[in-house]
Amino acid sequence: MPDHADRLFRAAYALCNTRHDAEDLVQETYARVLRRPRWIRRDGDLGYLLRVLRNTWSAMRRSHAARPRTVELGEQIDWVADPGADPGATALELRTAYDAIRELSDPLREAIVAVDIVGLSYRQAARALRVREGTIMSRLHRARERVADRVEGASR
Amino acid sequence: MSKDLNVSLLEERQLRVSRALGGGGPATPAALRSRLAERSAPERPARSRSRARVALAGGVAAAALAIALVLMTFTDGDGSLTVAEAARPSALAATGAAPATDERRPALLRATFAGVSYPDWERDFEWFATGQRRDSLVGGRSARTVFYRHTHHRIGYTVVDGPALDPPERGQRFVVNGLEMLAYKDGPRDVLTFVRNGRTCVLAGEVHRRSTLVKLASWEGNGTIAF
Repeated sequence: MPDHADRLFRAAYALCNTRHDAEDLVQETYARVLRRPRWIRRDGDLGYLLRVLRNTWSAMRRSHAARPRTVELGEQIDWVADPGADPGATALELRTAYDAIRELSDPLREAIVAVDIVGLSYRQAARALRVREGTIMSRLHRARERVADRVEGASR
Repeated sequence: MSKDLNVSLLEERQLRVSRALGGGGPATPAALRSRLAERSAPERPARSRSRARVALAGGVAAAALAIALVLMTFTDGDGSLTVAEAARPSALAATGAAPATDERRPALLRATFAGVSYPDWERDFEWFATGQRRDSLVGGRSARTVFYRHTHHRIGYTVVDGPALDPPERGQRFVVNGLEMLAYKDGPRDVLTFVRNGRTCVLAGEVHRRSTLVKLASWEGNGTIAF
């Protein structure tokens, strides 16, 4: 099973446009968590981390908005399958899925990141994102549909 | 195509996305892991820092890379000592003289334990240090308590060495200046507990209002006191 750092990085990579931004986001999230230690129940730590990650991402986007946009060329990133994962999921499929996630609206993107990438339950995701459980479910459904369209389109 | 088949295909598409995303993804870059490990290495006294670096270089700290473990240092107790027990020394008599004000950092006293400095509340709140004591608690955990007095009220500020204790099951939660605190009543005494620098701190005593303890604990001393 991937540890929290892996899950955080995957979530960050799905939210950000580049690997470097994702690394910055994870580092800043980490720094915020360490600066403000809290009591976290074991079943609540991932949700808390996602909330900090999301807030940090929002802050980073606001500060980046004032800067000129840059495009990263030839970005190197390795794709890994976890033990016991669906053998049908290829690196190409994963890459396509992440690209599709980045094109989703923020609410849909946050829902799919929370549930499918970070691995939260609907209830945990709803708490982390401060929305109702039903909202998570409907957003997740739409997000998965769009990602599935993109993945299937790429494999044709 | 039947309606049932359509629903089934729709579910299969959704599941496939879910399984793919849950079973893999971009690999966390090794450089990022190293930076996270450095960041999460706990503060140690200078003498042992070099030893800790050697351990890191040797890969012993690889397990500490995960934030999960960092979080556990805030959440895991040793299974025996409780906050209630850690609050007891503050009800006992002082055995040593009060620490003096740190002249270089007037918001602090010249007293530090397990990486936590004790605040000097005299100037801002008229709570002045009156004494201190050291105790060995359940499980061999050391604690240092500094006592403060304001008019006829007395409180103790106890810092417990080692990993933070589990928070009490019940209590009133406060978050001030980003510091999360839990308060509860123990007989006539109010007990407030929080974590600073990874250590459990307990502020306890008989006060008019619980908010007094909250105010004192969350005081940042114009930025001098780090949480």
